[in-house]
Amino acid sequence: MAFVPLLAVQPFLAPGIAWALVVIFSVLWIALGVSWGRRGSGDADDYMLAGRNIGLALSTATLMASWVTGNTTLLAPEFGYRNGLWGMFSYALAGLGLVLFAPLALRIKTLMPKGRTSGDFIRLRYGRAAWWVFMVITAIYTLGFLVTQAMGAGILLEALSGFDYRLGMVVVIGVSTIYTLYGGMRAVVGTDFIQSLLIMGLLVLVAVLALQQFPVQELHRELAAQHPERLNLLLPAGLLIAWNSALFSMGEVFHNNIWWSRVFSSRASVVFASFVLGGLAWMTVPLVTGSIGLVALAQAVELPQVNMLFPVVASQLLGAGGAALVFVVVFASLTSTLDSLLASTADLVAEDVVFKLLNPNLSDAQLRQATRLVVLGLGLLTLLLSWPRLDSLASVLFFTGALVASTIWPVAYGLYWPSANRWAAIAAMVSGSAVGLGAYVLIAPYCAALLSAAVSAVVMAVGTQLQPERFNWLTLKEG
Amino acid sequence: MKRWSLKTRVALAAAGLAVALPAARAAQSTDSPRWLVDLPLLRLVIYGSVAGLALSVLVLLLIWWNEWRRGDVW
Repeated sequence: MAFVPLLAVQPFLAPGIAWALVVIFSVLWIALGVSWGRRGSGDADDYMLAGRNIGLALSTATLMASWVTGNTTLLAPEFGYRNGLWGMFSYALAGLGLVLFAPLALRIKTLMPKGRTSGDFIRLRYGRAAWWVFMVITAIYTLGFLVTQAMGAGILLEALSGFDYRLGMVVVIGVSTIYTLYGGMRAVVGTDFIQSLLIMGLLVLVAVLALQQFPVQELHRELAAQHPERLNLLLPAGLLIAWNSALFSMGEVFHNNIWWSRVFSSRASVVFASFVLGGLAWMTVPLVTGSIGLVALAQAVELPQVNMLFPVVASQLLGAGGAALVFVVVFASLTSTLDSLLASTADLVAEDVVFKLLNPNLSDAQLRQATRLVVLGLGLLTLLLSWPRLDSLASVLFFTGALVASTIWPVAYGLYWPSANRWAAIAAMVSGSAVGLGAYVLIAPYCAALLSAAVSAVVMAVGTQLQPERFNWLTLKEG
Repeated sequence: MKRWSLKTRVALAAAGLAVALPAARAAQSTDSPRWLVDLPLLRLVIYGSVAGLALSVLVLLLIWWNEWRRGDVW
């Protein structure tokens, strides 16, 4: 989920060990990515969508790895620490975005066998005007996501290992860009498989070792005595935050090309199952890392900064080995998210802007080359925008909940209802975004996605009811 | 007047609910209800999530193994 890393202070890992880990995993990702990229037919579809034939294992793993950002392992423990069980549950509910997208993914695969991007769908379904609105929303979200992940990489590696902020950022962006550039979607999906196994396996190891040191019985006794409110299942704010989190994630998944590109890349027979499995598997990650937050609370661990509690607890309970495990998990999480963002955003820009808007006469080879250039350009742009280390930029990403939630209903209606009206879709995205942003500023951040989705739904339903269209589904086949 | 379809009514109901919840939150009293999780339930949440994560790794590897044997990975 696209949350944002914050500041930290003390390094947990000796620089020598950190460097060794970075070199090992950087070489591994690049070598595997380049090697996998050489497979396949070598045409644009192969580069952008890995040949459209990914099986269930890779499809599930790439969804899982892309959705686990650095902060799924660092912010979820903070949620558990600050809000107790509901903090963990609310973060975990972000996995609903993937699960609920499963039937839509199947529908997309059926309606658009030749489709390449989410932009293709909006343009063919609602026309160019709606496409512009959609592209503005997705550009703000994606750029915010890219920059905050890149900044997060620099900040997290600095906190974990003492690397200079810019050095850590350059390493993570550089490694992700190199193997995405040479290997395309095959490199992304292949490395995501290994990265997801690493993330999940190491998290299980850390959790088991930590719970051996501090059993659940002791945890419950301490929490019940010192912080009973963290065990309260009827926390009203928790319920609201949870639902907002679910809607935010639905907006992120329903509109963003990261997830649409996975639909187009996967075999039709595995699309539904991969989104369900990926979402369910992902939900366990914030629950496990959130439990570490509860352990820190029960143990009254001294935290220099609360967002660093996962490495603090891991190194306190498990020593230097624990810090090394956390470092690998965070490095894998960051690279797996950045590579997915780079590849899918490059697909979107190359297909929707360069090919369909600027030069429809591009050959297949030229489209492939354009996509590669966009990957490189995006990597450089991300580096440039992240260079100044604007920590305040982090809060900007939370605004995007209001924007992306407004796209849920236009996408869902557009996939199932031939009567969905194009002007209603535009009005739904604009009004939902405006009301959501207003709610964010005037009421509370956790109302933004809720009100945006609600207004968008009403506008879409009423507009369509008043002026129903008769859309021909065959139009989407050309996508 | 034409009746609104079931889909439209469901969508409008969901939207209404989304608006009603924050309003209900604002209107509620300061005495929050409490339902504290007991030890067995906490065990279920924590051990269940760890077991779920471990199971995910296992399932993913099994699926991959099965697809690899059939040549269906890519």
